[in-house]
Amino acid sequence: MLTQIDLDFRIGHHATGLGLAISTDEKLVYQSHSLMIDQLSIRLQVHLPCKILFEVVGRHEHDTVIDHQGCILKDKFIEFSKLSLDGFPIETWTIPSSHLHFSGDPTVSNKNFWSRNGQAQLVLDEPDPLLWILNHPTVLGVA
Amino acid sequence: MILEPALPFEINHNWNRTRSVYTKIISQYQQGFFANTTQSLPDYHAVGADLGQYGRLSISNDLTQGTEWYIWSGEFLEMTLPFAQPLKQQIQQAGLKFCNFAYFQHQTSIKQHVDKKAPEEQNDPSDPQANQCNLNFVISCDDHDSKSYWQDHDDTHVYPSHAGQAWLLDSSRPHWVDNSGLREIFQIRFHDNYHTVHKYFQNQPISFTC
Repeated sequence: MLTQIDLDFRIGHHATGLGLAISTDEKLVYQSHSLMIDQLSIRLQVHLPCKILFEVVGRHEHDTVIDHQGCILKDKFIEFSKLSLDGFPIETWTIPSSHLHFSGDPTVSNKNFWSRNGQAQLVLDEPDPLLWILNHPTVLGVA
Repeated sequence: MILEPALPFEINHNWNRTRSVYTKIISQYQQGFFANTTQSLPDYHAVGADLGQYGRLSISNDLTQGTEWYIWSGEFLEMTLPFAQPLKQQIQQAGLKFCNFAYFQHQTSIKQHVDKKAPEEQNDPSDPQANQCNLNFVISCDDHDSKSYWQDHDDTHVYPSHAGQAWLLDSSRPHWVDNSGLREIFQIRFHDNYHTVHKYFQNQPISFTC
């Protein structure tokens, strides 16, 4: 089913170099080599079921700037903050790990906060977005 | 007995998506995912399950021979109906008091009853259930002899359940359905009296193809 997908991101940036590429079923639909904005919103028209792949690149260890007490002063990250399916909003933290997984840092439990290079995958494995929502109690907001 | 004429109301739509989401919502309700169930109003013959942003289920079994009758309404239902927004807009622009869209299936007859308004919806102290009526669009009906009735003082109105046709009933009056087999209805609920809504639809044919 053709579905309108809205992806919202919060971007942490303080210098050039943080990049993001988004592919749906192996077709590149968005690419930036240097995100220098606070918010990024992307709208896609996609046939479900599909897999959406996010690739974070250009992030280096020294991009986290800390003071002498270890507090983070500046950082580079991408936070996948909201997903909307046909206008129906879903907070990404409610998406189960089986359907949103980030490979970049196994120690980070927050699957939608990407502060390392790596790939995240969102699996929309139903032909109908409404059935995908209903099939996941956490997305549904009842678990 | 007064044979109620069908309204000039036509919707050409593939209802499969509505059916599959309805079935899934009922399945999730039966598995206990939607626990926020409210008790029925006195004589309401139903309990309500608040599905939050997924809508509302009204569940009755004492009107349908012990089988559960689920009436689904709300935003998720409207997302499966491409004509919902323009139809709602048309109704509201005409000055009619739109209550909601609903979708339901049932397999049995429905016993005589009067629809109950919530206390906050009642606007006539002498007749708390006044000023409401339902447009029932028959999506499908296995029983070719299925008939719906409503009683208006001394007269009984009757209409058949022919797929693709719509009838208006005064839900503030006693009404019931004789039926055996799957019957599937798209319903528009109004908080206007029967005559106001009937006059509007007689003069304003509606047709949606999507």
